[in-house]
Amino acid sequence: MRRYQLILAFVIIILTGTMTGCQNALPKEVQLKGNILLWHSWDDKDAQVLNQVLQRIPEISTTTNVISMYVPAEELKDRYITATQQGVGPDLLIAPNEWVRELADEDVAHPIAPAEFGINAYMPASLTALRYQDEYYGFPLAVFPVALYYNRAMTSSPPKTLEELLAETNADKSVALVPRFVPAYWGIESFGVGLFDPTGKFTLAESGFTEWLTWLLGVADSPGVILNPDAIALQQMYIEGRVAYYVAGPEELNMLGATMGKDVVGVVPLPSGPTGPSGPLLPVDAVMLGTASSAEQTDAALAVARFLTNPQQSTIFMRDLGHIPANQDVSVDSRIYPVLAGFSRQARTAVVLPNDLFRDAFYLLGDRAYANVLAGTMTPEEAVCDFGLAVVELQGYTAEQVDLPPDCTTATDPE
Amino acid sequence: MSPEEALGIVIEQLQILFVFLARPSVRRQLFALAFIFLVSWALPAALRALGRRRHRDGEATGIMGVWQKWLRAFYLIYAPILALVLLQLTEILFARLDYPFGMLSEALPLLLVWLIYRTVLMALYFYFGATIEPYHYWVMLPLLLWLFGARIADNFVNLRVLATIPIISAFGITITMGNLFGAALALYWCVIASWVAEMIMRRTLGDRAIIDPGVIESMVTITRYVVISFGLLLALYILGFDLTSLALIGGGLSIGVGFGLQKIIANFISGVMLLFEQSMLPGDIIELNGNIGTVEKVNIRSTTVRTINNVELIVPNENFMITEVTTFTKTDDQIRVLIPVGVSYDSDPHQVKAVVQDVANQHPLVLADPYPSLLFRGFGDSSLDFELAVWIDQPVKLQLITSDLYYMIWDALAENQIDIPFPQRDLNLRRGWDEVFAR
Repeated sequence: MRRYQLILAFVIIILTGTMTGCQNALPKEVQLKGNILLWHSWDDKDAQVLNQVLQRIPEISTTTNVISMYVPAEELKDRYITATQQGVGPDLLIAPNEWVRELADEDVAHPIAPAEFGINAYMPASLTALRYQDEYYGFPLAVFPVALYYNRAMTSSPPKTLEELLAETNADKSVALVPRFVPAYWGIESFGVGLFDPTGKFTLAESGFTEWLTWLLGVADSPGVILNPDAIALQQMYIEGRVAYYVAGPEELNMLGATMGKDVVGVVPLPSGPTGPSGPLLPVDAVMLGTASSAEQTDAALAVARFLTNPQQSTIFMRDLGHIPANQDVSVDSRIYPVLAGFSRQARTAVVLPNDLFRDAFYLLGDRAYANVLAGTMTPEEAVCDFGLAVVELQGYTAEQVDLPPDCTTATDPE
Repeated sequence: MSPEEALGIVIEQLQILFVFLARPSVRRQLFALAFIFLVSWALPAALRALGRRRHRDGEATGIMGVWQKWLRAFYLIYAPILALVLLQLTEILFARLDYPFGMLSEALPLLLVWLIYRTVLMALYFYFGATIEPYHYWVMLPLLLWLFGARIADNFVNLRVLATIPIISAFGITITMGNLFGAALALYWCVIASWVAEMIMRRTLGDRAIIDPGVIESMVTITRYVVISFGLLLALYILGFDLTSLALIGGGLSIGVGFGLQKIIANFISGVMLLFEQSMLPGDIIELNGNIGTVEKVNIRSTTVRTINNVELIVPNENFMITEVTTFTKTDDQIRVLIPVGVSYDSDPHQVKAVVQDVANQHPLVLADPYPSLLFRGFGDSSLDFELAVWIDQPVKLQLITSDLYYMIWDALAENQIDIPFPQRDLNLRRGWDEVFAR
């Protein structure tokens, strides 16, 4: 018995070694053939459409086959990291831009040289969302900015500015928005330059955050403005026609259209403010490349990623799934896709935060600022200063990397 | 799911496997793991073989050291320890060469499990010796292989997807690979559990003198059937059968079964009743249809009885319910044997009593207490009728003892010139004498 076991073990080793040797000896043309593994968390119809698109891969390579594998969203990141570190991760991963930092730090995301994007013209902001430490970590697939939903049965002329919004809303035609950092970020850009400049400097002083909080505080008691952190309750109010305007992202579009009727739901960019257009944050879904792949698999995976994000496939995802394409060459004609066009226009003014942020903690600090102001425990100036100081401590910014409002210093600060 | 779709899933999983195997990093790690496993496995085995040879030589010359005995005692854990050391060294090497080694890191917990497994095994062999071997190969090893197999396979193929592949559809139930595997696993472990329970019961209860071996046998049999029945129900449940529906179907089938399998069911129920009622237990000596024998085993359908001719009778359990069975050992092993003795009217009854009782006392299998006695039964037609009453505690030797006693009584009576008369008849003819004399 023991002799057979030893023979079996020898056979395994010899076979494994032979496979290693033979594989390396294969000509390059043969190596380029093969299967590519794609992991995603798209389910139901999304997965069907994705697989339909993947069946068109022979258009770019008849020798490449893509196997897509669904992994539940809540498991995807951890399983991807573990599997890739073992060498058995996928060649491609569809994931949000918020994972870029962690995946890059874990060395499980393959950096992509700008030249690899090919002739695809992605939204600059969507590319920035995938940039970390001067490297790009994915091909932008779709963007998901929040925009202003309106009820066509209740209004036909949505406001373009915050002033118009205030003038138009009243108890019968109100606007519902969630006063938390991420869903309400768009107002900061309407009142200032935003929290970060293109170099990544924390420009809190001129950001517009204080002014935006002041504006929110001023309208909080207005009968036409409903500020509530309970997003589901606000969504329900919009569905029931109790509010005319509602701020949310495109991921709710299919459900709202199915519930209320596609003709009732309208979407336009969020109202602009005194200093410019609204600038919501721009979540991006991207096709990322794994680091477990062989060189040949990486080459094939790059080609497949370019294919999935090209104008033709992006159009399919937009038409069938309501995804807002990150590829600027896709024409989102407002006559054909009036609702998606609203999101698409909004995406042009959307902004991204640097990927070196500790996002979760950063968002919590932002949420705290909104809560303190609306609860009346802090003035907008105090809340913004408190936020700024906490962010500086969180991120470890030096004096050159921040621009805090005047008089916003810590107790131990010599000034 | 159509067969084509099922086949598609299998092919897809194979393709995924090939995607991984196409990667040098994966092949490199697999090769390293295979090398580590082989070396850590073969090296201790080779050293052990060498040690055995030296041990034989050492014993011959009396130079076997104590440390060598200790080295031999810890043989089982050399392989996992060596594997762990080699794994750590390989990881360091891979890190230096900037090779991915996540799979090697993943192997670490498995090797630790292997080390714990071997340590436990070593302790068990140390305390229980070779008796632990069946548990080793039927319980512990399958558990370890199952753990290792599932963990390793899960890295390369999607077991959850493979588990959904249908094998067969019947009665509105689709049995998938996952169901089938789960059911087989459940059944296997229930059979093993029944076996382990049987071993434990025999060991723990067998040492207690106050518990009858028959009772232990009954308890073991009942436990075995209960656990295996539970395993069957569990397996059916895992396969997707609705147990409440099974109960309904069972109710309906019982009518048909009542006619078609009447005998089998009757025997089955009789077996269950015998086991619970314990009216007859393994070890009992019984007489059934003139055959005396020892009850060997009470099964659920039949009972095995070994006769004094060393012939095994497979008796359907129903027979014990519908016919009268004599048991010699139900509550007490002692039985009384009556042997008729007739002597001539010329004999002295008191002398007869002394002679015959003396004969009975001489037989080694006749109990001295209760004392053998010769009962005077009456005045027969041609003899004085006695009955020798003796007690024995080995009912299975009843016929042998009876025969011995007959021989011994004959000899003793002959020696004491006591006649055993044969029946005599006096015929008185009232008429017909003339014809008799005329001839």
